[in-house]
Amino acid sequence: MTFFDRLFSGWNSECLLYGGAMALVAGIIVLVVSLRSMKIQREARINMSYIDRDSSRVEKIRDVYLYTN
Amino acid sequence: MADTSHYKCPSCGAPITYVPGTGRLVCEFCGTEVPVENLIDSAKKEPSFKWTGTDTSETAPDREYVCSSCGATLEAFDSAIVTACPYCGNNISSTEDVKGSYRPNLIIPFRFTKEEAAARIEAHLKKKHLLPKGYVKAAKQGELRAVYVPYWLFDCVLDGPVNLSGEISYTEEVKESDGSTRTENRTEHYRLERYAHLDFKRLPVDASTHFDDKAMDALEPYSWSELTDFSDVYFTGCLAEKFNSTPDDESGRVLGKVIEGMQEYFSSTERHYSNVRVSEDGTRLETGDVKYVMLPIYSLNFTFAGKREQIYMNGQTSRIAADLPVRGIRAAWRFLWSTALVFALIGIVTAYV
Repeated sequence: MTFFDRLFSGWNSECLLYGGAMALVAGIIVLVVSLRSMKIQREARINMSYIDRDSSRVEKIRDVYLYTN
Repeated sequence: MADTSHYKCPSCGAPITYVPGTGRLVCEFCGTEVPVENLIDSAKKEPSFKWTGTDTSETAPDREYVCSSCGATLEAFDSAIVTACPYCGNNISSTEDVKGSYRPNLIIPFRFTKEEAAARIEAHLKKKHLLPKGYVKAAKQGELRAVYVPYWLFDCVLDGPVNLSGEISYTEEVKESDGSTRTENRTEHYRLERYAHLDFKRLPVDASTHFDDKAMDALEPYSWSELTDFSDVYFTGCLAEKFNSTPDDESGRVLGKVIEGMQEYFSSTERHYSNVRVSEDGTRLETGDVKYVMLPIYSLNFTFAGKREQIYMNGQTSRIAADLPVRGIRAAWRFLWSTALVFALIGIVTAYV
């Protein structure tokens, strides 16, 4: 069995449906990432660089459990 | 008429220019090199901008200048310290605008030359495959200017109680009445009560309305270790602007940055919880010292398809900020080939697994 025989015999309708959906999602992700890279981006880490970690502190008062879902 | 400041070559008397990254000024005519230290009288401490806690500063008035190269009289761009003569292109700097309360406290000198900046911007654009045809060529023909942009550097403290919301997620095996088991995903929700004291140092906000705030924020961070005492020696060969918005005018932007910083600080310290968000903020912000500084930026201006385009580059770190146009057909093509590629990969995996 050649590579192409094997490649095309592996497909069935379920495979086409899920494979197609995954490929579509991947294409959308690539497109969104590409479009975002064309616009002005701010790096999150710059905000952290303002904070002087030596003199900053956070005191824990309490942790209150609210609910589980 | 305003005074203008010029640094002359000690050998031939021609204007000398600061060369980024070298700490030297060079004469374009005879090649004489002069170290910056030779031109700065470090013993002479000139009075500079001082923050008193209330806004007493006013934006500097407009002045007339006489070009030392061609003798033309011109009125400067409304907030320029160093401006280019429209007749001969000579840079004219006003000493009046760097005196007393208008004198910046600190400066970061340019690290990259104009040629290096142009090469980095071009390399950046060449990596953007969605750009319309001809955009890179138009950018190469644009005007690249080295500009010192005025900034306020705020020291401030955020202090007070903060309530956060946080989650802990886990999976649990649950036994059914018939003896079988099923997996359940659970999320516990918590209120985290904290007292925060966050010390913000050198929080930068640009002090000129001529520059896009979003782009200026995107050019950060700067390496503050290269901040040095202000001298207009660094202005040679560059343009420079003076502040036209006061620290009080920028208080809203400072608060916005502080809140962003607080949110990220908590996300990084409360590692036991996920999705940490500030739910109630009882903190108050106290502003400490404010410094007036000059930061180096390259600005590339050109016209493409009838629209004015602007690309900025940080003159110290070479970070680039620009809103670039997208060619629709290229975006569609990228979507199609990435979809087809993933589809083909799934096909191969299905055939062999």
